Formats: sequence, structure tokens, C-alpha cells
Amino acid sequence: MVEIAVENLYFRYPEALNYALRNISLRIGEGESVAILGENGAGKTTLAKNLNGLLKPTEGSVKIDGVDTRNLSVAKIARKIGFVNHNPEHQFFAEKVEDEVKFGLRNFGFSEEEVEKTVQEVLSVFGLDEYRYKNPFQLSGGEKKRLAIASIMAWRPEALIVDEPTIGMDYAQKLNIRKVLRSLVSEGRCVIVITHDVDFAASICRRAIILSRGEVIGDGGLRELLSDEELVEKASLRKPFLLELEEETGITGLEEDFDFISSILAEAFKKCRS
Amino acid sequence: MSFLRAFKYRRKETVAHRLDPRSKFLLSIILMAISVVFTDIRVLLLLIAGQLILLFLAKSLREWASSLRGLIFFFIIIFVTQLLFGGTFFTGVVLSLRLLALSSSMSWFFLSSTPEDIGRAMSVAGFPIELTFSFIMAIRFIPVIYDEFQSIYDTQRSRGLELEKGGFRSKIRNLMPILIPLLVGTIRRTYEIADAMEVRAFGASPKRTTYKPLRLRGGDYLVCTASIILVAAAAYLKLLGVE
Amino acid sequence: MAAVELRKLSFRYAGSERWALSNIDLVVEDGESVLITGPSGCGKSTLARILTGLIPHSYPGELEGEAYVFGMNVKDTPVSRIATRCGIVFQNPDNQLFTFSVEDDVAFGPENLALPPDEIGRRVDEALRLVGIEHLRYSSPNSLSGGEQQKAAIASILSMRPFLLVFDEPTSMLDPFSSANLIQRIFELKKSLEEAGGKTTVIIVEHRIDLLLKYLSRIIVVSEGRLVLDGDPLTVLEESYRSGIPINIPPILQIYFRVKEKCGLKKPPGTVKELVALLRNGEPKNG
Repeated sequence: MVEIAVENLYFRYPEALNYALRNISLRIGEGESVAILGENGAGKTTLAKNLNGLLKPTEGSVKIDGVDTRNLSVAKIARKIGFVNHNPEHQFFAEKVEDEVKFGLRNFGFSEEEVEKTVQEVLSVFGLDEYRYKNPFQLSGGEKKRLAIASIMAWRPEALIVDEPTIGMDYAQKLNIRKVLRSLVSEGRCVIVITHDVDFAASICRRAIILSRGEVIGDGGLRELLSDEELVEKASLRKPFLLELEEETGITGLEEDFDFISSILAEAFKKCRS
Repeated sequence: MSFLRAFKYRRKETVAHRLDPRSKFLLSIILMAISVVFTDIRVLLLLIAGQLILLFLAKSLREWASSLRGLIFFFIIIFVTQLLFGGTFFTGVVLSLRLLALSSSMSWFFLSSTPEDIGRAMSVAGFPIELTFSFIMAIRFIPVIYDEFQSIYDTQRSRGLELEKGGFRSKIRNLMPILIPLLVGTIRRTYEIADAMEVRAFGASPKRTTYKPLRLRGGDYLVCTASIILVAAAAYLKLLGVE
Repeated sequence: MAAVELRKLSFRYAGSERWALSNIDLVVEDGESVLITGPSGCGKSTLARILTGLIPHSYPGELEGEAYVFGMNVKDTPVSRIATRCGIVFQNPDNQLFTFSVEDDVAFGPENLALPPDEIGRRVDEALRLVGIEHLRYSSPNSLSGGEQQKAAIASILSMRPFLLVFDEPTSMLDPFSSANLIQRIFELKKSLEEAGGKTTVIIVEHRIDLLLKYLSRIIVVSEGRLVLDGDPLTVLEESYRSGIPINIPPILQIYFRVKEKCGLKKPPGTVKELVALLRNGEPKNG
């Protein structure tokens, strides 16, 4: 269980004139599934990097389990809060998939025995066993994303921040990543997803933090926030499809399975028309 | 890698920047030649004073001053070798001043010329077009590659990589997770850039035209005249027996 | 003359065992707006490269069959010549602008074609205007957003006055807002070019179908190197649904295809409101 407490955070990049983040205060805790939403340039990745210590606040504070990030090394924080970059190729350097997974484990001081055991487990959980000895660069786009996540989850951080997991993915690949993230949520881990894909966010996260031009303009239940049309417009977002459908039909509990939705709708409206 | 930040290009509008790079190059070469040919301390000091004025006109004195830091190492070497091999402190000073004059005129040329101007001058001078574009693009993409490096560094740090720790050998080993993705990414980038250039008909014809051709203007004629006068003055001084 | 004509086209990258494309027969007429889609790895990008001549000239491999772009045989024509008829915009906004200002990048193509400076000037002005980025003329590519960079890349292709514009996943690195904006721009400029006289063909290779649907006259689905569906957008989408081909059918249509028989629907809805209205009330009597 990890507690992230942000208080009056202001952040400015060293050579920049303007603040990239202004007056942000929030708390993220146990087992939450949070989507950080906003258009490109709103500050989502900057905020995420402040949460895991890669960037330190210019003013204000970010505390992990009560300790200020300025007093913690990135490695120490990474042990608790994993961070998956939007581009898996920014992390691949090993010749074999298994070595990518072993890298983090070794850095955090796991014994060789534990490393061997964990690698086997992790690869099978993420459906990558058949690629164990393959070169990471030879995997498909979706497999690379899964490997990136797997190599971070290997040391079981309590929280995971994933930056833009769906960029460049086709429909089938997105469903796959969604499955992976949903299982992490159901395990009770804290999962923070940075994305501009509202449908994807809605299918995984309960809570949403909406950023616009470096400020938080919404923080709360994802469905409530994204039903607010004014807010959605201000943030240049869109209402998720399922939410729209629910609002129009008055039918709740629609899960993203088109067969399921269609049969419910067909039944519901058969009565209306006859 | 913060020195790369210096290449994040900043546009300046000064008299010197508006000159044609060819005339500036001519002046620089002549200044360099003069600094090599003379050992008289008065000549060298005059040269340096002149260059300081040029740098002032190009509003680049601050950048020049920070490059001096790199030269200090060489000044020390000069003094040490002079004193060890039969020179005097004075000859050390003279040789250091010569080095300063040489590097300052080169500095001036690069600080007062935009990369695309240098590129245009290169192609007009007859450099093969591939070389010219390699030069321009290397500079153009430095900030992009720097950002990629930063992203890779952040990613690996988030996997527990600690560069500060460990002895020399482990520091080198720890660079691999950063250098390899950077290298792979850069190579991939060059393929994409090559494709993008090809579909814009790069290499279609051996003769390329230029949208903004270099044009010699009033200031350039002034500079060229000044260069000629300098050559004449130098020759005259030599005839008078100045060392 | 057809813009694109492919006959029994197959291609295998050098050193690869499997065929990236097998036996493709395809004709695209001048003026069409076509989407080429399919699951990842199906060969759509390979197809796009062939249209420009990058395959086989820059990407070695075995090319069988015939490929013609505006009558030019891709195998025998140098890329630089095909570039005068066919321009392509790639997915990574970063790597298509190589100079220090948008203006210089837009001039790059015409400079390579050795056109006289005032002609280049005219084309630069025209290209910037068509894409709506005159205000970015002196900007450095590094300072632009992803969407702006893509627009600049389009302008740098337009200055060569191609008749065929190919886009290889142009929005994959952009957020939804910029993506919609870019797509709209592309089709607006197609219209502008056509109003000025002369047809322009647009071929977009993409995953995201919903953004494009209203502009398309034709969808082509490629799967595992083969051309599996080709025709009118709605028909192709429905067929994909029925055959289980994993492409990004827009959610509204996903539902429509499933309920249309049961609820007796004939015309596809455009928005969620319309879908629900149809479900509630059935087909409107007058139409």
C-alpha cells in the first residue's frame, strides 16, 4: 500500500519561463485506479514524473508514504512506484526478453535464485513465455508494450504509472493491454494511467484527474467528471461512448462487449416499439 | 550531456548575422592567417582587440567568454612545454595569445552564422550536397536526440539504474542501458529521415537551386575590403621587419 | 489514367521468409478518397511504401507482379521521379522536417527539383496557404506541436504538386483533438486543390476509422498481406464485422450491425442520439 500526497505543487522546467504545473494538490492511495486525462501539452507526463521522483517540485511538495521526494532517490521510489514510458523502445537494451525482465530485479538487489524464479512467473503471467529468448526489438508493437509493463511489474511495485499505453496500438492490442491493466487493478494495486483515450480510461479507471494547461480542473469519479459537458469541452476531451449510450438510453451497467450491449438494447427497445 | 543544450538554437539579429557567410569566412581565414604569421605581441594584441569588437557586434561575447574555459587547458600545456623546452614565460604568453587569436576568429564565424547559412555557404563553395545536409541535420537533430536521451535516462532510472553508484567499471557497464536504446533509436531515425528526404526528390538532379540564394550586399563589400586592407597591412608590416 | 494500378503484386523483404504482400490486385482512380486498413502487421505500410517507390529502391527485397503509379512502373522509375506525382506523409512528425524553419522545409522539395527561386517562392506560399499554416512560416520545427509538424510535413509534400497523397498512419502519435483536426485539414485541402482544377487522390493508411468515415469513398482491408475486402465503406465495415476481421469498426456501427436485423433497421446512425432514436422508434416513416 502506497500513499502519494501532493501539496501545492508548482513545477517549472529549468530553462522554461512558464510553469508547466501550477498549484496541484491531490492524494492517491491504496488500490486506486486513476486516469490522468488532458490534451497533449496539458502536463500529464510532467505530473507523473513528479509523482515518481524523476522530477522534483519547484515549489510545494510530493510525499511518498510521508517522505518528501526531494529526500528520496529515484531508485528508492521506483521500488514502490513503477513507471512505464510511452515508448517501450526507450528501455530495451538487452539481447533477450528475459534479460529485460531481469534488469530491474537485479538493480533492486534480488538474489539470482529469486530472479530466475520471478522471470519465469512474470513472463507467463504476461503471456510472453514463448518469446523468452527472443530479441526484444523483434516483438510486435503490442508485445513490446506488454514486455515493458512486465519488466516493471517483475519487482511487484505497489503502484504503477503507465504513460500512454495505447499509442499506435490497433484494436486487438488495446484489448490486450486493457486486460493486463485490469488484472493489476483487481489485484489491488494502485494503477495510474496517463492517456488521451477516454474510452480506454473509462474501461479501467474509477477516478479521473483532468489537467488543462498545467492545472487540475477536475478530480473525482471518472463517470461523473466525464458527464460534465462543460468540463469535457474545456479539457478538449470527449465523453466516453459507453457513458453517452447510458445517458441516452437510461440503461446502466453497460460493459464494453458489443454483443452484450446489443442484446440488452435490442431487448429493451423491442418493448418500446411494439 | 548538458553541453548539448547550448545547441538549442537561438536566433539573433545583429549586423554580423546578416552578413553573407562567405565574406565572414574570408575575414576569419585572413585573421587566422595573420595570427599564425606574426609573433610580435603588439600585432597579436591588436588582432585580439579587433576580434573582441567583431564579437561585440555579433552580441556573442558571453558565449566566447565561456569557451575560454576550454582553452585554459591548452594555455597550461603551452606554458609547460615552453618552460621545459627552452622557451621563456614571455614566449609562452605570445603563443597563448596566438592560440587565442586563432580560436577567436573561428569562434566569431560560427557564433555569427546560422547553421543554415553555413550550410548554404558550404553548398555554394562546392561541398557535396550529402555532406552539407549531414552537417545541417546533425545540428538540427541535436535537441531531438537530447530529448530522447533524457527520456531513456528517466526510463532506466525508473528501473533502478543508478549511475552515481559503483566504481569505474560498473559505471561503464551502467551506461549500456542508456547508450544502446539511444543508438538504436538514432539509427532508426536516420532511416526515417532518409526516406523522408527521398520522397522529397532528394538527389533528383545534381544541380539544386536555392530558395534563398546568398547575396552579397553593402556590408559584405565592406568586410571584403577590410580583409584586403588587412592583408596589405600585414604584408607591409612584414616588409618593415616585424616578426 | 488510374492513379494506382497493382497487378498480382507480391513483396517479400530481403532476409524475410514470409511474404509481406501476396497477390494484390488494386486499382485506385484519380480523385478517390481511400482508406487502407487492417490489423497490425498486415502489410498496409508496405503497400504505402510501394506507392512511393521506396520499395523496391530503398528497401531491398523480392517484388513480383506489377505496380504503376500514374502509368509509371515503380520498379523502373527512380523515387525522385515518382515523388513528383506521389507524396507521402509518415507517422512520426519529428523525422520529416530537417531544416531550421518550416519555410525552408517546404522549399526543400522544389529545391531538389532544381526549380527557379521565384517558382519555389510561389509554391511555398501556396503550400502554406493550402494547409493553413502561414503563421508558422518562420517557426523552427522543434518548437511545433505534433499536429503542427504533421501539417508542415504535408506542406513540404504539397510544394512538389503531387497528384496522389499517401498518409501512413498520420495521427498515430497525435491526441484525438489534433487527429480530428489533421484529418479535416487533409480533406479540406483535397477540396481546395480540386476547386483550383485537377483531381487529387488521397490514400490514407490508418487504424482509426471513426475519424475518417465521413470523408471516404472506399475502404480496403488488408489482412496478412492479402487484400480481403474492397468497396463502399459501410459494406466493407459490415462484412468485416461478419467475418470477424479485427479492425476498428466505430462503436456505433458495432451495435448497429448487431441489432439491425432484429430491429428492422436500414440506415446507419451517425451519432449515439440517432442510434438510440432508431432503436426506440424504428426507421422514420418518410425516410
